[in-house]
Order: sequence, then structure tokens, then C-alpha cells
Amino acid sequence: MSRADMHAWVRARLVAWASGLLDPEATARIDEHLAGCDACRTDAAVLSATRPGDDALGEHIPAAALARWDRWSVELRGLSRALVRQHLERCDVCRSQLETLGYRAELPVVTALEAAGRDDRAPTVQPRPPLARRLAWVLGAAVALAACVAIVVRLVPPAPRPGEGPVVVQPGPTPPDTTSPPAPGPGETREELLALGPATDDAVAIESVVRGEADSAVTTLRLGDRGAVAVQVPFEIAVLEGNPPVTVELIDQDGRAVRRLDTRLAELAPRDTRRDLRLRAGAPALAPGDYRLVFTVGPPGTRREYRVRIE
Amino acid sequence: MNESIPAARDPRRELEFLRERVRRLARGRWASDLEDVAMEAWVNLDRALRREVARNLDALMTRVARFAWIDFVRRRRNDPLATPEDLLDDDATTGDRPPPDDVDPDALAMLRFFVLEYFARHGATECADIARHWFAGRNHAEIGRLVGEKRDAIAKRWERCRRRVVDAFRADPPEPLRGLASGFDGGFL
Repeated sequence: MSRADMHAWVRARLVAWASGLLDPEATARIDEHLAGCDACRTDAAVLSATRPGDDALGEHIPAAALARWDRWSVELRGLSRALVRQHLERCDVCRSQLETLGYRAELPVVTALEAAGRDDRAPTVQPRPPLARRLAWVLGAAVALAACVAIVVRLVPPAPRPGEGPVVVQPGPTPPDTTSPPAPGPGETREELLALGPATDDAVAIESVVRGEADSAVTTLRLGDRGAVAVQVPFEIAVLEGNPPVTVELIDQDGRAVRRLDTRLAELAPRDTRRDLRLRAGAPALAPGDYRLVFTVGPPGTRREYRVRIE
Repeated sequence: MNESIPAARDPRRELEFLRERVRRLARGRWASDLEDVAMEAWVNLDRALRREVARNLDALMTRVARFAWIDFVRRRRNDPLATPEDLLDDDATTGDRPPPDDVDPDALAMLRFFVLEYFARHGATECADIARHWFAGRNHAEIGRLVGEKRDAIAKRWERCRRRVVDAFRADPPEPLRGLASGFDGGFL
């Protein structure tokens, strides 16, 4: 093997080597190469070096995974899913960090993603029943089938005769869609009840660690005497690029959008200044309680939800 | 042991600080990923602060944000769909030498996590103890000296542990390590 090939061979195995998972022969080859290769030796040392808060020792779920928990956790399957769930059940630190980031500190059991080990047993072979019993089953099945045919023949109406035509079934009334916002009525100014305005010092910062659905991450909004409150545009929305359309909705516990603002990102979060959202009382009234402030940015369709409590 | 965050700390303020640092490092690039980077930095900060009290919290946060940023840039470079923008040299912003480009530090942290967790699942505490020493950079001879055993005894015991975990990972490779999985299938281990 040439020196260049050996170099590539070593680097492809450096992570496994640093975890002690290579067999003794491969480990010895890498040790030998490291002894004579300054670059690889330095890189191997740097790879294993710890940095502030870095968890290269593997005691916790890696920080990169916790930070992307909403995407990372849904990719887990099989053994790795079981191992992460097991860790979460006993690690207060990882649970606490997930909750602070706004996620539920749990990994739900999803049958399709779980390890196959429990269900991969060979199917049990049942002994065949005696011949007389099998004949009795066949006769019974035949009688049941004949009875079914007779019932169907009596119940199904005859085909329409020429001239009668097919029966047209009219669709019934469509049930109201409670998940989509009601269309604004004539003269209704719902948009103004959620509008953009200049930044103010007393604007409420939306609980900035909110990303998931943790109960602890709720921002309280007090409408006050004037029946209005200023809300800062969340960081992760303000830093998005381009000028896509943005819809901001305040959704009540019944799933109705009681406030809505359609705008564009450049209006919501200009590069050269900061703007706040103005949430005002009005009709429909904002009853005290829990709501979701939903930002839909699209395309590509980024959606962020923030839990708010109106007092 | 109380693992909750001490009342004296303010995670929201810490996160805001890290976001600001990350935003400065990004210089307007990759805006949609900055929240992930800030969160990763916060997790590392939280872990650092659980180990020791920071003499200068702002300096520590600045350092943690910079490392998270460098790791992010490295991932982008290693992405096969990397753009010319991804290849900009950001390492000049740090005096600490980052891990090499062709070695994935995420994979190392993931692999070590799954190894320890596998041993914990099977109650293999001796295996986990040797693994922790190995991850901390100690060889078999050093581990032997620490636990009062001969080097060969440690090496033999670790070989049994290693085979257990490698067999399990070959049968069901940890999902985030699919990039490394060729190692499991192709005889790397």
C-alpha cells in the first residue's frame, strides 16, 4: 500500500480507532502509521481533545443532536432509538437541556421505528387438526357461504331498467372546517388587530428557547389598559433569508385563527431596523387563556409555533 | 444530585448572547441554520458550566459560540452539496486548531455515546469503565496501572467488550452513523 493510500486508509478509520472499536490488527497498523506521520498524529490528538463543554467522552447525547432534536430524533430507529430512549430515562442533564431548548424530553415508542429484535422470532408451527375435524370445517364454511349468497341476492336491488337512469346522490352539507380561519366579513379589519409597528422598548420577547412543545415555554402577553401589546419578531424568523411571504396567526385553543397578518419577510424583519408586532384587543375578543402564535414562511414553508398566554 | 440549572443562571440571557455571537460570525450567511448553531453552543455552555464555575462567563460564551460555529462550517464543507460559500476559510477566526476536515467529530461523539449506552444497556460496567478510560486518551498499559491490573488483562477484557458492541452495531448500525456504516459493513472494524 502506498503512503498516500495508507494515509487515506488510516483517516477513514480514525473515528473508530479513537473509540477503541478496531480489531487489534487494524489498531496496530494505525498506531504504527501515527508514529511516523506527524499530520495524522496531530489530527488524532485534536480529534480526541476536549473543548469547553464538548462531550467527546460520550457520556451524554451529543450537543449537535440535542440542538436538532426535532429532526434528529425522528431519524432514530432500531438499536440506536432504544439506546437514546434508555439514556433519556436516566439522564437528568440531557432531559433538562432538552426542556430548556423547548423540546419534550422523551422519545416516544413508534412501532415502525423500534428494534426488530423482539418480533423476529420464527413463526410457531401449529399441528394439523385431524381429517374429520378438517372436513367438518370445510362443510361448515360451504354452508355459511351459501347463506351469504342468498342474503345478498335478496338485498341487492335489481339493475335499473332502460329509461330509469342511475340514481344521483346529492352530497350533504360540508361540515364547517374549524381548523382554518373564518373568512373576514365585509368591513372587518382583522389584519389591523395584528399589525406591524416600529420597535418599542417594552416589546415582549417571545420565549426565545421555544422550538418544541415543552410546557415550560410559554410567553405571557398582557394586553394592558390600552388593549394592545407589542411583541418582538422571534430571532429564528427574523434571520431567515430572502423575501418570502409570511403569515402570522394567533390561534386559540379550538384551532381558530383569531388574529392574522399576511406580510412579507422584508416587511416583518427589515435588515436595517427592527419592527415589532402589535397585537390588539377587538372583535373577536381575546379571552384570557392559552394561544399559539404561528409563523408560516413560505416557500419553502418554514413553520414555527410559539405558545403564548394572554392575560 | 440536583441536575437542574442553578437559579443564578439565566439560560435565556445565555442563549441570546450566543445567538448574537453566532450571528456576528455568520456575517449574514446561512441565516436559517444559526438557531441550530446557537442551541448547540448553549448545550456545550451548559455542560461546561455544570463542570466548573466560569471566571468570565462572557469570554467562555464567546469561545463556545466560536467552536460551535467552526463545527457548523466544517459540516457544511463536508456536505457533498457544499457551495463555494461553504468553502470560505473561517478557521482563521480561532487560535485553537479545529479537527481535520476529513474526520467527522460529530461521528466520534455519536459513536462513543452509543458504545457507552450499549454497555449500560447490558450492565457491562467493566466494559464501560475501560471505554471511558480509552476515550480519555489512556492506553491499555495506563488503564492497567490505574485499576491495578496487567496491560494484557485489560487488553483481553477490552477485546471481549469490543466484539460485543461491534457485533451489535454490525447487525443494527446506529442510524446517525450511516456515513460511518461502511466501516461496519466493509470490515473497518
